[in-house]
Amino acid sequence: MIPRGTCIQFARMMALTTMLMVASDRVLISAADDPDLARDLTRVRAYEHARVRLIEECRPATACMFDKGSRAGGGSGVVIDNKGYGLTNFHVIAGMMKDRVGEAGFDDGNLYEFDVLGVDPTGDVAMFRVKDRDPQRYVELGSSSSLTVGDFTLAMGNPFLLAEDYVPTVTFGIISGLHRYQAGAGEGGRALRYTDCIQVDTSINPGNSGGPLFDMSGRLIGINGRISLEERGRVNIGVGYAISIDQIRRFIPAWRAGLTLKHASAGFTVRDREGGVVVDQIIEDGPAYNAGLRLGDRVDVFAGRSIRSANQFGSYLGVFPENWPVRATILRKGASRDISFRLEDMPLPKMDGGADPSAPHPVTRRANEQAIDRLIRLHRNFCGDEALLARSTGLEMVGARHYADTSKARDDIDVREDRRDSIAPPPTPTAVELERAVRWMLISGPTDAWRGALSVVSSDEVDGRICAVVRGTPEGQPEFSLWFDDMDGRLLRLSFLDRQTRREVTYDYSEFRKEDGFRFPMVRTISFDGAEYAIERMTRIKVLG
Amino acid sequence: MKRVGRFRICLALASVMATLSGRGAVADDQPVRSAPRVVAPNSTERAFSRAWPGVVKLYGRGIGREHGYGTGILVSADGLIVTVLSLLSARDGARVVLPDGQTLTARFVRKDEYRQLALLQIDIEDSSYIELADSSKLALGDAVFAMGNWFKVAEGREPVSINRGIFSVRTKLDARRLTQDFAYEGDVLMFDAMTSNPGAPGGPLLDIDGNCVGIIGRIVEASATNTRINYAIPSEELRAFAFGAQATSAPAGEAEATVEKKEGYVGISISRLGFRHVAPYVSRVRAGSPAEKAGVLADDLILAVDDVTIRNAKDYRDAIRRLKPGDKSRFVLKRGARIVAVNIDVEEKP
Amino acid sequence: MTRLLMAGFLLLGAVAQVRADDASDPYALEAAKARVIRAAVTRVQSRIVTVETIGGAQPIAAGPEGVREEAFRLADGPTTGVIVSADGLILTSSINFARNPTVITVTLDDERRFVATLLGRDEIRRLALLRIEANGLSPAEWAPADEIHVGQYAIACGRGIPGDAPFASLGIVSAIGRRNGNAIQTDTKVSPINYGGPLIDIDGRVMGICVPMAGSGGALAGAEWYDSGIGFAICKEKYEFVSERLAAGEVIEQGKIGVALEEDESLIGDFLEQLLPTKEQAVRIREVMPGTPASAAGLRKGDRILAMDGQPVGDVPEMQRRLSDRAAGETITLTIKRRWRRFEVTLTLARTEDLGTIQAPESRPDEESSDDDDHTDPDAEAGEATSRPADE
Repeated sequence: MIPRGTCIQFARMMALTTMLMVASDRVLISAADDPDLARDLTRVRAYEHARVRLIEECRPATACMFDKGSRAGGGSGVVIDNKGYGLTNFHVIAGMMKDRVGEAGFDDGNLYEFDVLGVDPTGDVAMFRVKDRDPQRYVELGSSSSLTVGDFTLAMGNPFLLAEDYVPTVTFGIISGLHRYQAGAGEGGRALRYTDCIQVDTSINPGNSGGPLFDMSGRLIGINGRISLEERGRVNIGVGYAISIDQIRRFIPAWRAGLTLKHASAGFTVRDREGGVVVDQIIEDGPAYNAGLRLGDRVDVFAGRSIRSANQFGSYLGVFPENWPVRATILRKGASRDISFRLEDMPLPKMDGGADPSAPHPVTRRANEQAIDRLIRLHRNFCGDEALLARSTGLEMVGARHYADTSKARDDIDVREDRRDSIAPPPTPTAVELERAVRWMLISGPTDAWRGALSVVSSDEVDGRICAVVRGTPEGQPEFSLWFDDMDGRLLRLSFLDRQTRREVTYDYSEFRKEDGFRFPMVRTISFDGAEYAIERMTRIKVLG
Repeated sequence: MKRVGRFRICLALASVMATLSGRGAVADDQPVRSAPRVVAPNSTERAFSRAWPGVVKLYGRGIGREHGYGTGILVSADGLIVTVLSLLSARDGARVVLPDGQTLTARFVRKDEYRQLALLQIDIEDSSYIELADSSKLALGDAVFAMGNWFKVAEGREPVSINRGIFSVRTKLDARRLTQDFAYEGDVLMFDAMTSNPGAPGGPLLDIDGNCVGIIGRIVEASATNTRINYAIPSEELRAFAFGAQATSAPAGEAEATVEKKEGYVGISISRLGFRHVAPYVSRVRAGSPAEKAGVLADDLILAVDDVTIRNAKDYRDAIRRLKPGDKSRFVLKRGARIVAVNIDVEEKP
Repeated sequence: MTRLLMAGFLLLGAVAQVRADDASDPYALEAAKARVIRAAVTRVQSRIVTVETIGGAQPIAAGPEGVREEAFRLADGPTTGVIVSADGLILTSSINFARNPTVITVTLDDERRFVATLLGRDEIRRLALLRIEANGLSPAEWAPADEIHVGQYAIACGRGIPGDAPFASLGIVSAIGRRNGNAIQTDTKVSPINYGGPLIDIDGRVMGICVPMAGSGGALAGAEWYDSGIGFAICKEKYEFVSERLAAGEVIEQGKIGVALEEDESLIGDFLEQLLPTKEQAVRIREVMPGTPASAAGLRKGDRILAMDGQPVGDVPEMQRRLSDRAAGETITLTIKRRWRRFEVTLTLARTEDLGTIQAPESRPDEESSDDDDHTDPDAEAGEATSRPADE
């Protein structure tokens, strides 16, 4: 059985060959008359072919979004993975919040039902999941931080509901500006607020909302949602705005689980001074204050970006979810220092009709369960081959533990973990026992009792990776939290309240390496209440069984 | 030619194509991080990076369609700024925001009502500026870029917006600004980038290399259709305005307005002359008139006078008023099912 | 055989070279692109003409919601046309002809000017066919439909601006088979400057004829979407579908059903109104005119239209647009909701001048309910229809 991928590749090759065969006749004709023009035509045609092919690859993932059973609503969306998860604007699905269900048409001419998962009324993004489409066509996420003004882009969607056959409209243009700001609406301007967004001259019209903006490698760089309007009415005049994918990425793990995350507030305000900003007001005892920030401090760098104006700061702040960890470089009296703290939150905008997007709902409850299943499956795939994992009976680890308190000598580690012992921890486990139990529980697959106790609670960032935060509340066991990389499922962090010491124990996992077909973190950093306690470095890991 | 041979060629080509072709969408669990193959590399960057240090944002007075913000071009190292003529630029005090975020107040230097331009001055030494290039080399199909402070979405140091299109033609414009006719009668550069937006007038029009070939003009509509036009005043006009010996310029005709003008006489009667909704049919040709000598007949329909399309009796009246005794004027007429052209020797009014 | 081998190696070399080049020098590609555009426009230039219309009544252009009333005056400046036969048939857009101009002239690329007669008009596809007394003209070369792909370059050429060369605007093919299969959709700037002109590919072949085909239809303007990045060009297949009828002088009219429509109130808060493409609502019949296909089918005030030909309808502008893409004489099926009942009706679209005279058929579909308020006797309605003169 030839793999599908190869079949597609071969078919594409033959199609290209045929096109070139046809083109060759034309080239030869004009080559006789004007060889320079023939060369120019070949070049431009090849470029055209490439763009046509790129569109063919991306378009099947673009959705024409509708209310279930009617055409009310009318926007666009895009599917981002092979399980049917997709992105759109909040305002496209805002009318579907009661039942959280809608219909999406794709360029295969069919309509498929989708569930509305997590939403972001402030940032104007929402996640949906298309059901029962096989195969799911999807696009990969790109990066908006690497964009340059003038980059070519493709937009796809359903402007003016012209796609009676659900084949999206495709438009082509350039990035006109980056890091733009479009004020929100509603109370406090907290609804549909586009911050640090992408401005394009790619034609976007009413109906394109929620649809994808691609770079020219076919990766998703934004979700189109707003346009500047003029006297002519609600029609494009060359200025459109898309929410950047970097903003969206931070929220995705929570949205998959049906959660509604708020946006961040800083806990302080700034004002312009001498080409930069200084702290103008600060909430005492807030996270920023507790990290050492004070009135009058100059904020030079915030979350990796050089800050030059208060407007720029406010705009950039808008891309973060509540409680996001950030680093900042502060200048005070000529001396600079780095601080780390978590952002706070700001309230959601009031929804019309009093609907609360975070109220419990069967769709979001199911989404959370499916998100857990997905993370566990990803994690297991990451750890190693399914068969190998099933066969393994345990592992042997050799290494050493180095203490942060350098007065303590290092401890050698030579342990053997037996799978059967590990997955059933004692009723009052030590930190070590609990950590081992959780790790093996994830590899073996949780029992029903454990499974029912897991739920996604948030998004977060650990070690530069966007994570889903899962809370475990198994009966009779301590509560714990897990941080999974949302893309590949690797476990990056485990944290729980140690009953004996009454301190927050955190294990940070890094330096993953494949040994014996089994991917394992070679380094584990142990902290108590946020202060580093020890680092365990493994030199050898052997899978048993 | 033999089918087998052709097939072999196909295969050979196909196998080579295999090495050249790129990505495939993978459907298994692990996301594939293939190296991105960029189909269309950025070709705007060069123009943008060359020009943006010389583009300034302007803020000031506005009312109605005068939005109170716009764009200007720095044209000299000592702070001369060219922009379009508007409420905000026709006076001292316009606020100028430089690309580095510095804000300065401008002095009004002079204006040109005909070209619809204004010249401002800021106090600065050795500023970046844009050299005004030759626009005559632009050819149809050439990429052009427009930059500007559209919708004032860029603040402070944030770079102005840019879009692109292709250049089409250099031509005269028949346009209106709301109810007034567009004064400028010289050449404009026409292209398809969208520049008829608030904040755009006054920004530079650039070629693919970032040379400034024109300035985006004030927002106008085509007279015939009331639709917005995307156009730029050519850089030669800018140069003449900013650096030329003559302070302002006007079409040759205006200068003569102060001189007592003799009215030209052609000898054609049009019923309801001057009415906009009346087709310009010749109702009577006066005996012995220049029109009769040239062969104009009653019931001819006047289509054009000296290459200016005559759409109605008002257009005809305006055209006639421009004629002077001694002119040789070419009239294009529809006579029945034929188009004829005649040359009329315009005489003095009897 | 040798030809093919040569072609193969030529292409191989060129493509390989091109791929290597473009990554490192996008500006060489830009230069090639500009030359290619110029060559394509030059190639089609001799096949397009300037169309001018003079005189005629200027109808009041009622703009749709959100647009100023006096906007979009009908073109009384020059527009564009395409030569479609060597013996003088010129295809253009119908935008100029709603006001019945007294005089039509056509100017060729070589500056010869002719008086033209208007043959037929197609209000669905917004086309008009003219004839001039000329021979030996170069008709436009059409691109085969299977060589038109989404993502290809599309260049719209127009004579609405005076100049030696036509005005050209550049975009891509956005979609194929739009507007009930009539049009190629493009993001090239399409406006009165190039209505009636060709949308060409980089080889200078005509993919379609640019026409104003904006949202709510109607022969008056249709230019509301000019320069919006949503433009339409009628494809060859659809022109050929009507070419004989146009040459015979026929006017193909938009079909009417004889209702006034309204929208239910928005359920979304005001602050979203500006950004939503359509309010969340259904299309409801506000009024049924007597003697129309709607009245003959038994439709009533208050009925909600859920779908047309099986495709759900979102709002009034969409309904109007879809209707404007269908000709008088065609049939459509509407899915209706009346209170709690859903049912379908089939209607034959009528010409505007026939509204008021349509009679109900002998037997009516079984959809009467005794609970309905506006119960009307089908016989009485038919009787009314015959006694009322056509006043629509």
